[in-house]
Amino acid sequence: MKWPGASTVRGKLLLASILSKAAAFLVAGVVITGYDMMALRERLVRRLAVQTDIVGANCLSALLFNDPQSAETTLAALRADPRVRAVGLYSADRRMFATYVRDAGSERILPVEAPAGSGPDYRGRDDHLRLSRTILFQGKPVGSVLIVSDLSEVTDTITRDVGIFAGVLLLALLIALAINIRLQRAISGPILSLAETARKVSQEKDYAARAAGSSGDEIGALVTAFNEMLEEIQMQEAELRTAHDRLEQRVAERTAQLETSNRELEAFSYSVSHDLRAPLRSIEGFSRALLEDCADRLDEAGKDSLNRVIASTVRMGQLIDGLLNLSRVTRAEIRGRTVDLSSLAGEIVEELRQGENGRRVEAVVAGGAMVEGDPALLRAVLQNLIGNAWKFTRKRDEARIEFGVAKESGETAFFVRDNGAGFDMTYSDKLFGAFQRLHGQNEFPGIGIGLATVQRIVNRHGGRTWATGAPDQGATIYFTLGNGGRNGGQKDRAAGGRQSG
Amino acid sequence: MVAGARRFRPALLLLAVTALLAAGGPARGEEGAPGSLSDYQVKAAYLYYFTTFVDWPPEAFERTGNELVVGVLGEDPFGEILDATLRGKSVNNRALVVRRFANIKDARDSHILFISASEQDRIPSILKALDGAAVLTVADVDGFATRGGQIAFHTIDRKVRFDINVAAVERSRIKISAQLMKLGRIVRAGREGV
Repeated sequence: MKWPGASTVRGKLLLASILSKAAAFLVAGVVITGYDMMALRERLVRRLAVQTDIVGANCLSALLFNDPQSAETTLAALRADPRVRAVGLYSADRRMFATYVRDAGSERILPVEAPAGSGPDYRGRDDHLRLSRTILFQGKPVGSVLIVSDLSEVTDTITRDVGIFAGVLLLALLIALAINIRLQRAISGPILSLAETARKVSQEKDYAARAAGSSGDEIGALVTAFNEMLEEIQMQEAELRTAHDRLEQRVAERTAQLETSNRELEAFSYSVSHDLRAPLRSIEGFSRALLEDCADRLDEAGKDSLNRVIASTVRMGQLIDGLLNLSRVTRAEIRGRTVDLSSLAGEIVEELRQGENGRRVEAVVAGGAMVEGDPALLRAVLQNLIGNAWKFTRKRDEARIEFGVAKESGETAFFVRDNGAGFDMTYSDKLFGAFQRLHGQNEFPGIGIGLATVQRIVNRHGGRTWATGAPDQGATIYFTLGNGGRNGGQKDRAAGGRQSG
Repeated sequence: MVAGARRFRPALLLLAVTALLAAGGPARGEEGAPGSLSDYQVKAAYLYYFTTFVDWPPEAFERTGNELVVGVLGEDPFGEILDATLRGKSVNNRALVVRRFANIKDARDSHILFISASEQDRIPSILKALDGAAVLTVADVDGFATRGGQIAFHTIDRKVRFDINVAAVERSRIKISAQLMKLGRIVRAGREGV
């Protein structure tokens, strides 16, 4: 609805009620007035017909005996009827015989010749009604009479009718308005209360609110249903909260249990690794002693076997060290500090360059990567990642290593990219597992603990790791640092130096 | 004396016959075109009209076989005109017939009796003879109504008009309708000279 003031339920109800009443009244008014008008006209015509007949009969003798004066005297009797404006009496040859006019100026409404048509002929024209009748004598026409009557009776009645209707309409609408306003309180009151309650529930999440109103009609049923719904919601919400609380409690319990068993497991792993070291050292020491002291008594096959034993013990030692490292990383306390990853990466690249001189490696380090975290652990992360990159680009003539910052779905991610051996994305989920290796020991030596360590450290900082790459196309390892990484970022990416050696 | 155009009146005293012929000339005044209707045509029509505005007592028709008799006493000034006017006409299912009388004794069974100007000297005796009879006496003799006749034609402004002696009408038990009454000049004189 586009009616003004109809934006509320109350306004709409009011408008509908008033409009329907007004329409009903108008229809009734038009019908009654129209009927009145028709009936009035009909009555007027009938009365006029009788009058015309009487006048005609009274004027018969005057016509027969050719006495216009007498006819005019007869016609003048019509002065008693104020509605008759003019009368014309016409002789058989259609000429004007006698006339009567109520007031000067009415003559012109009388035709000079008798109107055509022998029978009764009437028609309403302008503000008057004409009716003519033929006067018969012994069955033969001897003249005709024409009466012109005022229609003001009809128009007056219609005007009065319309006035009365307008008054009644106004009065009825006023009464209807008053009744409506009273009645509507009973209807719109509960609806408004319902709307207010609904608003309260949706905005304030106050499920304890209840709509008022308890009439026995549909609105009452609506209010009741609404309140029942609210009750249901309130109940379910309470249940939900209980369930939630219970769940949280269980999660806390499980977490505590898990932490305990985790600690126990780590302690076990640490002690096992630690305890394994002593026998391993003695195997290695005695093997070396055997190789040195009894070299002359051993043939080549024996020496080779011993060398293999020694190599294995060295490798096992490395494995144990890795495990211990991993365990330490897991157990170590994180000391939060501001760390400049960019300079850290630069240092590590320099160390690697000094350790293995003669390789051509282009290193690009983005500047200004400042983060919050544990300096020692973050150094381990970069050492592992850059070290891996250094290692897997060994076969490249133009090796390239890049440390950079990227925006990954709203969070700051750091990455180390190389153009080395790369990996098959099919195995990307195995990349960060402990002791998982995608390359042969002979090709690229290692114990498969580096990325596992990186992931643990990153996880402990609240971040995550992932990798992209392809075989022989290089690899990119990403990591975020949760909250710690946020204040880092590209303060000045352009400041990143481009180092080449 | 013949009622006719007033201009002929001096001549009428000498030439009654000429006057009768002249009456066929313009007589209906401003309404009629010259020569359209003679005075006697009008009078004949009036006699016919009278039959419709006059009521006779029922016994007046007992001896006429339910015919309505229009009689002319004395010399007939109408000629064929009256017969032509009334031929085939009837009023209230009574056929109109024209009878001509020379003697008043024969004329008592008439309903309307036109007394010719030729009888004007005998009018008192004629009226006396008709006393008590339901006969409407009509004449175009001056002073007929005031002398006891019922209806007297006269001419005003070239129009044929008539006087009605109401007392004489009442005595004859004839009823003249108000419509006819209002057209005639009412004369209240009694039976003068009777």
